[in-house]
Amino acid sequence: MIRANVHEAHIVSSAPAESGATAAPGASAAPGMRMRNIVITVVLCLFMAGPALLYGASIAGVQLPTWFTAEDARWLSGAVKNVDVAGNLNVEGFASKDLQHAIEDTVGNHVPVKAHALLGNASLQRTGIAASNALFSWPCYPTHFGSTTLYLPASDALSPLPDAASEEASVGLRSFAAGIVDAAQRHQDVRFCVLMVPGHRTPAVSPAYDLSSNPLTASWCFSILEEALAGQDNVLALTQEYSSEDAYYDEYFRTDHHWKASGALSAYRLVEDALGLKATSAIGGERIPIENYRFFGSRTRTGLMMVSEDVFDTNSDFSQLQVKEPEGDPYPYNHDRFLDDAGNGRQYRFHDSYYDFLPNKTVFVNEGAPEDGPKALVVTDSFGGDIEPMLALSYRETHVAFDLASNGYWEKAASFEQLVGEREYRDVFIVASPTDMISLVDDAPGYF
Amino acid sequence: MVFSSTIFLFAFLPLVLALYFLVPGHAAKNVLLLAVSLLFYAWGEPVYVVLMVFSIAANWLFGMVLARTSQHARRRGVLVAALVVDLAVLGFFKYQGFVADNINAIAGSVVVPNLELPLPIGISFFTLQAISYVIDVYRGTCKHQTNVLYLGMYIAMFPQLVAGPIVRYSQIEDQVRNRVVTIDGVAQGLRLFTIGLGKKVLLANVAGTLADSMLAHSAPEIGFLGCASGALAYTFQIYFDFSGYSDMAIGLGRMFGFTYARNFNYPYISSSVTEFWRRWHMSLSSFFRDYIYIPLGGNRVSQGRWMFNIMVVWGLTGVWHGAAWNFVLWGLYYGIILMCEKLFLLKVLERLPRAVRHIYTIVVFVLGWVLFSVVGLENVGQWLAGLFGAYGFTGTSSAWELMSWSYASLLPVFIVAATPVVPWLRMKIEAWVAFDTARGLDPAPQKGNEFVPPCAICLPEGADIRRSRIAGVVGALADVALVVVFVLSAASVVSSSYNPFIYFQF
Repeated sequence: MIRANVHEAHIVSSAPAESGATAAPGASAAPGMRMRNIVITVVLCLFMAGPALLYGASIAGVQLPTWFTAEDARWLSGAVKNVDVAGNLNVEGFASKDLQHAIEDTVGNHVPVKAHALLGNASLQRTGIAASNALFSWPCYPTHFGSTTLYLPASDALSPLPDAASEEASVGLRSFAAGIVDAAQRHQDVRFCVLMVPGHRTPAVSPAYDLSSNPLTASWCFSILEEALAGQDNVLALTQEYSSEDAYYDEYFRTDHHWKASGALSAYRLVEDALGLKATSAIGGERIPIENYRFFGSRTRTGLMMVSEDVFDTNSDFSQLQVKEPEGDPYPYNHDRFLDDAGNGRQYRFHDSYYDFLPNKTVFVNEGAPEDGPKALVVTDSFGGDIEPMLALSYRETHVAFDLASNGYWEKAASFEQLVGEREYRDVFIVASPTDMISLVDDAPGYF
Repeated sequence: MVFSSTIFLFAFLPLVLALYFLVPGHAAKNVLLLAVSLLFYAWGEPVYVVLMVFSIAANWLFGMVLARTSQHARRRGVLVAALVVDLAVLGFFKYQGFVADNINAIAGSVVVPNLELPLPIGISFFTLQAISYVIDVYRGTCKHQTNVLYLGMYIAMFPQLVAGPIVRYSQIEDQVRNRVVTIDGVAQGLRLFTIGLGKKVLLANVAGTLADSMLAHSAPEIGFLGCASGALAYTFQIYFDFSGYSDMAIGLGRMFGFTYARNFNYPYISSSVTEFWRRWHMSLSSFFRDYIYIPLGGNRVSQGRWMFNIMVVWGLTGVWHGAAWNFVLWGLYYGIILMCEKLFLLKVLERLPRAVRHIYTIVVFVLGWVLFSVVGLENVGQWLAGLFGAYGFTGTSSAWELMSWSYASLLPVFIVAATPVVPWLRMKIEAWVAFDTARGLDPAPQKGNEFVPPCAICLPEGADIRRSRIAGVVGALADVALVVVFVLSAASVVSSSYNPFIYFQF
């Protein structure tokens, strides 16, 4: 065995007590320590200086790929914070912490490979959770620690962690139903059709329901609604029911609470049957795949998990529909926009376009119907987008109000009564998810 | 500003490091450190920075007066004045609400209004540092600092400002003017900082997710499983959080050429509570020992007085941690257990197998963390009852929805990270290189382990060249692992501010 005196001692630290505390007398650091020290210092400092370098590159006009910058994180976050460092660069800005927040946001907007950092961190945590789940074999688990989004391996889908079926939820639903019943009593000649759509927090089917002690489920919500609306002849309560995850995900996105084209169609058929609407051959059930495209819904962003699926449209003919937005000239309803925008290559844009809500108070005019034909009102949340044109084929005019959308993007009508009493409607449709129904009376106490 | 934030990690620290190495000489470096420390503090506390400046000025003045006063009674008077000022500031900002609430509760009406003052960040730490300085000057343990900026740098020094360790002026007195800043020191500091960052964001924050979710519920809702997993998660969270922050602080100090004593010495491997407190938050324990317990007479007094001294120290330790009865109770709990150990329990424990002693210690400190973390004495009682099965296995929840199971795979990681496995491996390699595998290895001795090791494999002179090279490769791989930890930690830090919108671009 060859033994030799090797390399001179490298000083690990300037504090004698420190190295003496752990190393034998006469000990030295491992070979190449100085080089290692230089390398690790440079590497870590480069990481720390990443945002500054990126900021410098953006000022210099250097074009970098979006994955390398924080750009790709924008569609994950869903928004970019507007930053005004210069405007807050004063004593008041510092005292109010507006300057600090602006600088922090600037740094956050320049973190390199930010989207990969977010997804990678979640993925690492999910690996740990999946490893834990190997011991328990639960049918669903969180997408990362603390996540309220669940991954369903059997369906390769993302679903919300159920809320509790609380007394508040029950009261909210009953208040909502009472408002509808009041309106129905005042307008006996109008048919009110309440379509409760399994929504953001309450998918129709979820393995988590059986695993939770007191889950807020779509069927629980519907049973309360149905009971509260019972006895009012001109009010009809409808919902879609599914017997399995496969059936549900055939009509609803695996990564989003919204329905696919097939889900909207099946909801329409439900309404059509219940109200005896004139079935029209313009609405077809054939699925037309959209090639070379994958859908990433909102739960991929909330759960930080890139589950995706193929997309398709149905072969409906909406050519006789005209759209009248509150401002601007009427124009033909262009459902092809769905296909066109899907091809632009950005995941989030597809999502955005598919639910490219027409503005609040938009009116569909059916040119194929007599001018004095019946009118309908659709009071809805984000589920309205797909079913409105189908419903509109049975009426001369179909008016849309996004009053049930809880996120505050649209200004609500002063009251439901004002909305319903505005015109002589034959049918009023309320199309919304349970959570939007539950929160309506709290969000807008004077609405009913 | 906290270390585990994007602003610190990606802007403040690299900028400060760059400036620190650009400015020449100790004087400029010291002033720079003071300036950036005040900026660090003012970032989150724009108003309270005035309090910090006042503390610096007042204690510098007291030090100066003490140095120029030779008469014992006057010196004592100056010391008392300094303590009154420092403790009054701490007492007012930290305990005003607590005292007011208790007086009002006793009186049955609002006698003293609760001003609901926000707690100035780090006040508990920088006040103790300032007190240690004045007392050490009074005792003659260190010289007074004539330069107010230098003393300001010591009191406001950002690495240990928020969460310690409590650095005594006497420990760094020489380093203020004579410290060596080397690339090796920077590298070692960065390594230690990375380890601390990893502990904080990869371990503590994850354990904290479970602890927080359990602590948000009452014991009847979560039953034994929720209470036990919550208490265990909090046990890991507080260790990785606090020791991680200390590691980051010590690492930062080392980058700037300072050597701080270690603050945690693997406390969870202790086999008695006495040992636990020799290993946990060592800078606080030694502060209370040297500045309160010993001046009170320590154990060289009658048994009654000694018991009184113990309870005073632990009552103060409890209340130092927070202005609530929980913390007082927590301190007294340890005071009583330590007293029992000193009186008879240690002798009993010594006769038991080490595993039993260890289990006893674990039970004590986990129950201690329940007292520490559960808000409100009534809830504490419920949690303790829950731990003994009073609300069934899962309370009113299901086992799945408690989500404790999802952390099962992390338990081995937490245990390894909380025990001296890595130092043991390092020492093992060193012994192997030295052909000394029979060497007894104690990777975390209770005594003689005052400084954090240099995060490197140290070889004996004349070591075998082949084995040395292998050790070098292992060291390089360890560095690669540290870079991975840094990247993962940075990703976690970035993720912590992630708050997506369901709908967007409207």
